[in-house]
Amino acid sequence: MWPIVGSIGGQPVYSYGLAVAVALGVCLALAWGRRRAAGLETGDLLNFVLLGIAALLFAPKIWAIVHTMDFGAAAWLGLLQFWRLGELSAGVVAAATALAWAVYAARRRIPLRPVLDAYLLVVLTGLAIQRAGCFLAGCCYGTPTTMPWSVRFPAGSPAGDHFPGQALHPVQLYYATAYLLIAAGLWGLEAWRRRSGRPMPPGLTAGVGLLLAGAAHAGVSAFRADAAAAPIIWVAGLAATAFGALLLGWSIRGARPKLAPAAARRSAGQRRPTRVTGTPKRKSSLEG
Amino acid sequence: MSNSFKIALIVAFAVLVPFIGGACSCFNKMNLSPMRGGMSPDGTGTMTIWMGGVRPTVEDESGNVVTGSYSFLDYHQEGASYDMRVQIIHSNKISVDDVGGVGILQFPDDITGFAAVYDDYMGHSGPLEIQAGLSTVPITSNHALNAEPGHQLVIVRVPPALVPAEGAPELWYENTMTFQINPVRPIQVKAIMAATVPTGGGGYYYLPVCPAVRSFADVPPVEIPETPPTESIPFPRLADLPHPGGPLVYNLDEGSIYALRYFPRLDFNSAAHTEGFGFVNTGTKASTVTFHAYDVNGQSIADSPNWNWPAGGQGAYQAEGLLQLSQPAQGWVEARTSEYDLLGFFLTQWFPWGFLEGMDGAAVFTETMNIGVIPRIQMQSPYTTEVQIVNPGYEGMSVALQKSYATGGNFLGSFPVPARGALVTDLTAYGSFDGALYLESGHPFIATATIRHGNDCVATANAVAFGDRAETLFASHIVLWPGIYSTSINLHNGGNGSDATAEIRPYYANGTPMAAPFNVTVPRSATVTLTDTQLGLPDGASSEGWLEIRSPGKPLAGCITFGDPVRHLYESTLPLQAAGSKNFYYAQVANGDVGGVVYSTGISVVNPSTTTPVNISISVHKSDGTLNGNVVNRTLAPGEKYVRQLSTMEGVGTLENQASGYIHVTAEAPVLSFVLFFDQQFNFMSAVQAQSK
Repeated sequence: MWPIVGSIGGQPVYSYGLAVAVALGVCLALAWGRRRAAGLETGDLLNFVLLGIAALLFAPKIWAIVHTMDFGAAAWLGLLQFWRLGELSAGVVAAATALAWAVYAARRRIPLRPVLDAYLLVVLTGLAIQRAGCFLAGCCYGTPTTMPWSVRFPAGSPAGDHFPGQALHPVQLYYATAYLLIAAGLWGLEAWRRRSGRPMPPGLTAGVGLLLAGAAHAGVSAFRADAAAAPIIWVAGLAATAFGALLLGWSIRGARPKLAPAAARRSAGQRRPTRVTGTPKRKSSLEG
Repeated sequence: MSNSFKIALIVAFAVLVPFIGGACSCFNKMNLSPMRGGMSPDGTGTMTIWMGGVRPTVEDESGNVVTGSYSFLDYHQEGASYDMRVQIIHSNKISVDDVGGVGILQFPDDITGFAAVYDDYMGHSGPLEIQAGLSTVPITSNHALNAEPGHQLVIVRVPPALVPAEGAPELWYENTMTFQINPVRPIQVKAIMAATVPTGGGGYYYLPVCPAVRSFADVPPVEIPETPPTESIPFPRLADLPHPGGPLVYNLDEGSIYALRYFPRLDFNSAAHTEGFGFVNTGTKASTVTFHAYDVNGQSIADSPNWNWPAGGQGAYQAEGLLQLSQPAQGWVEARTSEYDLLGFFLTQWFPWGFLEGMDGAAVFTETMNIGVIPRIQMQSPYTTEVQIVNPGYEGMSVALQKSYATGGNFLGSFPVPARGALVTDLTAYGSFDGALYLESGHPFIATATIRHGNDCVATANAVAFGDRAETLFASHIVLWPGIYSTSINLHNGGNGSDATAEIRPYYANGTPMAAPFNVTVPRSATVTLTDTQLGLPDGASSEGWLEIRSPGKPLAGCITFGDPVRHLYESTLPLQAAGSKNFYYAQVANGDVGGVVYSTGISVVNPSTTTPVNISISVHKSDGTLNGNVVNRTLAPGEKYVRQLSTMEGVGTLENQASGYIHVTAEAPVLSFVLFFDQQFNFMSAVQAQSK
C-alpha cells in the first residue's frame, strides 16, 4: 500500500517501522496511566519495555546463531549491530519477551497476574497498530479472494510480488480489528465489574483476553497465504489460547471459596485458623 | 540505570525503528527490501538484491568430467528455486575445486565507477571484486557471451565465504552495487550467474547456469528507475527465467554446448522388436541433434550423424535408422541437442511374427533421479515385465530395489550398474508379483519398465521421481466398455511411513459426479490396483469420465492403464498427472490412412476447476510444423471433459493423413489432458504424455 512514507537524509522511512514506533508510544502512554492498577513502579514499567525491545533486537540473532550453528566471531559481533534487525521471527520475539518478563518478574517478586490484567489490553492495542503497519507494508498478507473487501497490493510489496494483481484477504486488518475489539471488550468488562462493585480476581482479564486473542489469531491465520508454510503462525495463536485457558482456570480456581470441610483439612494436617488478633474472624457460611 | 536514561533508550529505539523496520518479522528476508535501486541526483546509481544459494552438489567427478547441480533460491516464493544440472567436460582434468562462481551483469557502456559489497546482516560483510568494461567473455572456445550493442559486461566474483559448506542450509546475502551514471536516467540491467573454469592459459571460461542461456538477448531485463535508490523494483521470478529443460553439457574440449535427453531403452532386433525416438522442436531456432547409444556395460554402440530438427518441426524415427544399426543392440541412448526447446518421446514396438502386435511409449527423460518408483510391474502369467535401470553418469553405481505389492513391500537387494551402462532384469529371480518397484541410489539414474501380455501387447511405464509424488492426482480419462475396454489405476504409497487413505472422486465427462467419493487404503510401501468398477465406473454399462484422487498429507505416485480386458490386443500405461498445465505439446500424432494402416488419434482435455470455465485451443501440426486443419477453440465448463478423435473435433475441418506430427494445446487456466493413438484394427494403442516446456 504505502511501504515507504518518505525519506530523511536519504534514508527511507518505512511505514511499518513508523507504525511500530507509534504503537510503542501509544502503549507507553496507556501503560503509564495503568501502572498503579498493575502495581508497578515506574522503573519496573520502563524495564519491561526495555526487555521487550532487547528481545526484538537480539533474540532473532541469537536464534539464528543457534539455528545455523555459526558460532564464529563475526556472528557474535553482529549482535552488537543494534541498528540492524536480524532475521526476525514473531514467535522467537514473543517467546523471548515472555521469558524475559517472567524472569524479571520472578526476580523482582512482582505478581504477574495483575500486570497481565492491566497490560494485556494495552499490548493488544499496540499489536493492532502494528498490524496496520503490516497492511501498509504489504506483509503478512492473505490468500486470494473474490470478497468485495479484498485488496490488491502494489508490485514491490511482499504481497504484490507473491500475488501480482490479485485481490487478497486483508488479513492484517482482520488481525487489527480483532485485537481492538478484544481490547475494547476487556476494557468494558473491567469497567462493568468496577462499577458493579465486583472486583475481578487476578488473572481473569488476562485469561479471557489471551484466550480470545489467541483464538482470533489462529482463526484469522486460516486466511494467511504463508500459514501453511510457517506453522509457527498457528502455533503462536494456539499457545496463547492454551496459556489464556490455564490462566483463566487458575484465576477462577483461586477466586472460588474453599469447599473442603474442616475435618478433611485437619486430616490433611491443616490446623484451624487461630485467632491472632482480638477481632473475631468472620467465617464463610460455606466453611466447615 | 536512572529512569531518565531508560526513557532515552526507549525514545532512541522509537526514532530508529522507522528506518530499519521495512516490513513485519514474518517476512524477514523482505524487511531489508528484496531488490531496490535507483539514481541519486548526483549521478550515483544503486542496485541492491538479496540472493540465496546452496553449495553445488557434485554428482560425478571422474576422468575429465565433473557433473554438479546448482540451486538458486527465489525470495519471491518460499520453496521456489532455479535448479540446473551441469556437466563440464575438460581434458585438463579439472576438479570441482577449480569451479568458481561469478555474476555477469550487463550495463549501458557509459556507466563507470562500479563497486559492490555484500552483507548478510549477521556479521558477514565485505567488498566484492569487480571487473567492468568487458564486451565479451568466453563460454567455450567456440561460444561467447557478448554484450548487446551499447552495453558492457561487468563481472562480480563470488567470494568463497559466500558459498555455504557442503550440506549446510542456504546462505542469504544482500548485494549492493553502486555506479556513476551521467546523465541520470533509468537504465536496464541484465544478470547471469555463471560457473568459472580455468582455461589453462590464465583465463576463465564462464558457463552460464542461471539462467542457462548463451545470449543476453534471452535474459529478461530489470529496470532501475530514475528515482531515489530506495525504490523497490520488480525482479523476474526465477520460475520465469529461460531453462534448458534438462541437464546441460559444457564440453570445453570440443567447445560445444548441448542439452541432454535420455531415452532409457534401446532393444533392437530386426525380427522382433525395436524402439522409435522422436522430438518436437517447440523453439524458434533449428536444433542439431545427435544420438549416442551405449550397451548395458556402458560401451559405446553407435553414434548417429547430425540430425536437423527445424524450428517448430517434429520427427520420429526408428532407432536402427537413426543410429544406423545393422546388428541386434540392447542398452540406452543419450541425445544431445544444440537447442533447448525439444520435447521427446520413445515408442517400444513389438512384432514377433513380422507384424505389429503391440506398441506403447513414454516421455524422454530430461532429468535423472536418486529415488523413484516404477508404478506398474505385472508378472503374473502370462504377463512379464522387463525393468531397465540406466546409469547415465561416468562412475559406476549401485541401486537398491524394493518390490511393492498390494499389502506391503520387500527389499530385493542392491545391484551394480556400470558407468554409462544399464541393469536389465525381468525380476523373476525374486518371485512374481504385481505392483510397483521402488528404486534408490546414491547416484542419479533413470528407469523404465516394459510390460507384455505374452506376445499380444506391450505397455511402457517410466519411473516417477519421488519428488513428483503428489497429494492430488488426476486421471484425465477413465473408460469402461464391458469386455472391450478397461481402465485400471495403480497407487503406490512409498516414503510416507504409514498407511495412506486415498479419496477417489470419479466424474462423468460433463463434470457431474459418477459416484459419491469413496476411500481406499493404500498400506505403507504397498501398491494398490483399482480396476473399472473399483474406480466408480458403473458396473455392466459403457461409460467414461475422469478421476481425482486425494490423499492429504500422504503424497502418492501412480499410473493409469487402458487395455483390452479379454483379448489383450492393446494396452497402454501412462503416469497419473499431479497438476494441469496451460501450454503443452503431444510429440506424436498418427491419423488417417498411411501406407495401408489406418491410424486414429484421440485427445482428452479436462477442466478440473469446479467453479470456473476455461477457454482452450487445440491445434494439430504436421511434422514440418505447419497447421493441419484449423485451430479448434472450445470453452470447457467447470469439470467438463472434452474427448474426441481428431477428425471429429468441431471446427477442425479436413485433416490430411499423417503418420507423424504433433498437437499443441493452450488453455487460459491449467487443464489436464492426454492423447491416445491406435490403429483401427486395435493391433496396438499407445498413450502420449503431455509435455510442457
